[in-house]
Amino acid sequence: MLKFSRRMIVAGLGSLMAFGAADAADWPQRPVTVVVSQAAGSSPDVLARIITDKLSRTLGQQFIVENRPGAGNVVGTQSVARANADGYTFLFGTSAALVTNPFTVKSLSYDPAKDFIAVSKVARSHLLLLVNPKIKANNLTELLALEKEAPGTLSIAVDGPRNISGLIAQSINKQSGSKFVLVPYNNINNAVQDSITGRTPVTIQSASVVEAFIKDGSLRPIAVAGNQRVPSLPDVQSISENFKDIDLQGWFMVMAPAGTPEAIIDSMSKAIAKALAEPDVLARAPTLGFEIESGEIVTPAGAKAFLDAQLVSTGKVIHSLGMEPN
Amino acid sequence: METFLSNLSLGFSVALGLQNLGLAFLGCLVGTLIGVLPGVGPVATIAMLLPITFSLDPTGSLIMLAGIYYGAQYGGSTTAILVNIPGEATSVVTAIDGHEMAKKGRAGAALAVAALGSFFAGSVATLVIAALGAPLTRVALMFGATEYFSLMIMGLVLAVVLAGGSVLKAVAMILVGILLSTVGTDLETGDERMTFGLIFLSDGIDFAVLAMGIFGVAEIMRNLAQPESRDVVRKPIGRLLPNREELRQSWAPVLRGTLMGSILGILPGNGAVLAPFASYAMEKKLAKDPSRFGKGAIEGVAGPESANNAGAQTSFIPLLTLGIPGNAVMALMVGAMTIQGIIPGPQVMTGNPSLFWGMIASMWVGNLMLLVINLPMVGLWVRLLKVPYRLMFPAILAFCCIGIYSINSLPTDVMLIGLFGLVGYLLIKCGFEPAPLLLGFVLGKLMEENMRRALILSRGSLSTFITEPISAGLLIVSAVLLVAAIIPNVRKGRDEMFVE
Repeated sequence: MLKFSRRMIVAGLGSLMAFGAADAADWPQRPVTVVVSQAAGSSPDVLARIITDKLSRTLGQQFIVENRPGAGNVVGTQSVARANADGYTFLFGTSAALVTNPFTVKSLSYDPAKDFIAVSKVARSHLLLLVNPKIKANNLTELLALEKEAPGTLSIAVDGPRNISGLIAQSINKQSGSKFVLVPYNNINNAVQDSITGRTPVTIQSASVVEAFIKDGSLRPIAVAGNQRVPSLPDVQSISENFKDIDLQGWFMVMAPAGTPEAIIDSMSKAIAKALAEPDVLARAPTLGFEIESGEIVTPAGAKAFLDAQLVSTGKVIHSLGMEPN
Repeated sequence: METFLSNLSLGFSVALGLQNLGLAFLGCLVGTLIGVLPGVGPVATIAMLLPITFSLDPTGSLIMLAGIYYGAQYGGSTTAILVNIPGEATSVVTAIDGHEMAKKGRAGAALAVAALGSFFAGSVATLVIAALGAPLTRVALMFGATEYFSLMIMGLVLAVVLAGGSVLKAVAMILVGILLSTVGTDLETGDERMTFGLIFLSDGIDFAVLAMGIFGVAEIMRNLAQPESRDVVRKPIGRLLPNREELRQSWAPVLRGTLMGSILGILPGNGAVLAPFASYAMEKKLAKDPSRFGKGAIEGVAGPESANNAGAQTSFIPLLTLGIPGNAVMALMVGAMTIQGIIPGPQVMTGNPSLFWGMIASMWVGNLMLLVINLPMVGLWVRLLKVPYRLMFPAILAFCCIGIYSINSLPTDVMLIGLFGLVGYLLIKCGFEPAPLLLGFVLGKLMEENMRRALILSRGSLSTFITEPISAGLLIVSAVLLVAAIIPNVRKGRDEMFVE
């Protein structure tokens, strides 16, 4: 009886004062914020909303997605690095924020390894290298051979020199001696349009954006970023098959501020694993261009091991380009 | 023609189903409300409502989301007219003459003409989408970086025409706007420009922040500084609906605005943004007495509002027929479609005709609903103006702050609207108009991006702008317009001689 009322007081205080060292059995006692470092409607946002919708049901508290876009994921990510480590703020982290920014942004205001604890890697986002069908190449080797015939004539649409697609294109140039001309686009849809019409015959785009164009034959996928092929496109090689070191990929990982109680991290991770296994989540993900993770990598330890490995491989790629943070 | 009619009847049979009617109404209502609130835009709203659509069928959810989008266009004009705060780039022009009309006690007429013009434009644009959507897409595909750059140049020339006072001051304002648009991260190198190391400037200045400050907050300061003009609202409200004379003046601008908006909306590179500006410039050129513009000319509301709505509607064309979203809202619609397992693109029309035609028919239904929602509300809105200004301005300011914070959750954005408010007030005091600045800001970004891209694609050759036929055509039109804008000074002298 006494214990019961004390717990209620703690709960009341916790929700009033916006912090509280609740143990995992009590967590969550009030709504939980999940910060997305990109705008509402962006691909991490859509996935975060699908997952938090499930978490709200299984954990019995509202999980609220808060969009804090800006400065190439820095604004949102740093806000979680500085948040209370009480289990009520999480980050829906992007690969750009966690492994690219540390090497491209000067005096970055957070350290992905020290300021965060990995909770779960939730999904891989497929980044495809595609060509306009007029380009007679079915894989990266053939494309590079075509490029060698007339160096400097093929343009490749990317979203910026320091974004993943730009880094991939520059690394290919660097390692193969090719001279693809990078054309940066703020708006991916303009990039897609220009690739369909052949203005920029090569492009690197997220699978969700180009699915319809692959289906109707107006763009041909010839490689996928990272070291694994995509289940739905088994014949398309991964970039690592041609260039072992270029293992740059897009993915999303839920992170908590360093210092968050371990028990809460475990509960959150388990709830996420459960959400990821729900049939409707699995059914929706492929059309959105995501490959939902399962098993070891969804656990805190598995996610951390993956993050550490990605930090090393990404750092190597960016250093080899001679790129300085700015 | 027969298939066209059978397609439309299929569409209406879907759109007029009870559930879809309800969803269209809900979407329009929510859209109107968020449109009226400054800052809260359709992008944020649709993103937040996405999870709700999971449980609806695809057609119903798209009908609702589309309703929010054009509902917001309607609602946005209401705020622009009543309190001079354009929430989106497309309602900047409406604020110019619409708010002047409100000051003269003709807010009702301005709101009603905006609603009627938008309804007409929406209806026509729906037909355009249904009949010409597919062939028009091919035109849109012909626009690349080179063409967009020349189109933006034409837009800037229109901005000169747009300005009421001195051409020199207008040009100065446009240049300041372009300069402001260059703040932020350089797209090609990733370097930061003019950010002073401040993290909140690294993505540049948000349009809503600039517009809300330089229009809204500056307007409040000006009202507070001039006690005599403050109580616009003390004047009798007058007729709510436009009188015969006003309707007579409006119909031609509505027709021309509809045409202009329908064409520019098709361009996937955010061409619709230009539509209201172009319409305003055209009306001003065609008017017998251009000096009325900027002082409450009803043509300056009727034309741009129709252009705005027509453009909002036809911007569905690249999405529905190509799968390429023309703006941020359309990109969200793609998200909504893919979540439902429908991949936007040409195959939707053949593979999923009831969704395609149902959505098109629902656009018309939605426009009718907006008219039904908005016309009776005109009276309510106008009565809102009767609230004493000392009570009204803190409320407007509070809504602005909440709205702007809701976009990026950045406290610095709230401070920036205050700063831009001060700047805007000083500009008004010195006789500079804010509209050309905003246009320069909007177009500056697009212009820089497209010019640099065109030059990369041409491997540095400037002649690409002249050798590409569409681009050359647009540049010639711009040159002609510019000459026409400068010449009146010369011609005025001559006209006076004829009068003698």
